[in-house]
Amino acid sequence: MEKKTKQIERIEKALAQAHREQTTPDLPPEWREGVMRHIRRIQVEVHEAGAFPSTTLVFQRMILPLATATGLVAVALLAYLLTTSPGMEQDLFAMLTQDPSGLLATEALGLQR
Amino acid sequence: MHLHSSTARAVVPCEGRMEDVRNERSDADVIREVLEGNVNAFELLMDRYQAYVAGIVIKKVPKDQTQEVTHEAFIRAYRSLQTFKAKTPFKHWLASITVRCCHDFWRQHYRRKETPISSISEDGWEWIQTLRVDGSPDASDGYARNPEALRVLRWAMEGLSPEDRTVLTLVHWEGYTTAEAAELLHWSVPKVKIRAYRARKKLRKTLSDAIPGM
Repeated sequence: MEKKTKQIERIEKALAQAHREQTTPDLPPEWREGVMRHIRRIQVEVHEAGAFPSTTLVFQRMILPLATATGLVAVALLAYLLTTSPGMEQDLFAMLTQDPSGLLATEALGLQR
Repeated sequence: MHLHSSTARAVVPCEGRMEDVRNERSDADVIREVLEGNVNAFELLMDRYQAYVAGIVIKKVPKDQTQEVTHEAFIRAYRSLQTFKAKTPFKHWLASITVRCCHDFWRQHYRRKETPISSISEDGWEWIQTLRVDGSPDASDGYARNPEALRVLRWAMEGLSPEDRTVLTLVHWEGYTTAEAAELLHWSVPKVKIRAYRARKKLRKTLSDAIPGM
């Protein structure tokens, strides 16, 4: 009796051959027309979407520029505060902590009036 | 009047010549034209490659699904045409899209559980049994032409996952190298090697288990 693996190999070889020998089907002209219709529809959709972008799309497109602008303003404000006089810093601190005399701020920041 | 007609003749080439002009343009030129908005130029790419794409698809999905999957492959190609880089030939790029379409077809199919594992038919069983005992050197070739071979093939592949099915056919049956298959599937080469080995092992086990006394 022939070895089991040999027999399986033979079956596998025949299956592989059957797989390779499947002939290319003829696609009818209507099929191609169908694909082209689909493609034209996509083109129209893309064109319309470009002309009238949806609210979500507009919102999505605005997130990054807005976040960048806000970040830049914050950095600029911080730089401005750090480079101006300590008095202004104290005033701001006072305003935020409700310390009108600025005593707490002077003490906390180790600043001299 | 005479001058006018001769000018017209010089400007408008005859139909055959027009066909030549269409065929002379490279794929890259046609793609550029499509991207510039002339969507009808895509038909020329279909002219050139629809038989090639259908030839890939027929070997990977059931025959009655060939048109649908080929359609999907061309639609995907159109949608991602902007990502095509002329570094690789358009044909290879299209083949990669087609193989992934076939792969996705099976993934969806399995997800919907539309493929119950059937038992082998009486005729299929007979086909296997006769081939099994026929030890002649060219036995496989002759049996492969029997229509029953495709039914057994379908049955044997049912037990494989979409990944195993795709990689087995590419590497073991269609002669792609592991590197080529990796490129087509966007997998790593070691992954292709491992999956191809396991897939073949599974297929052999399916055949072995189904046949009592083997």
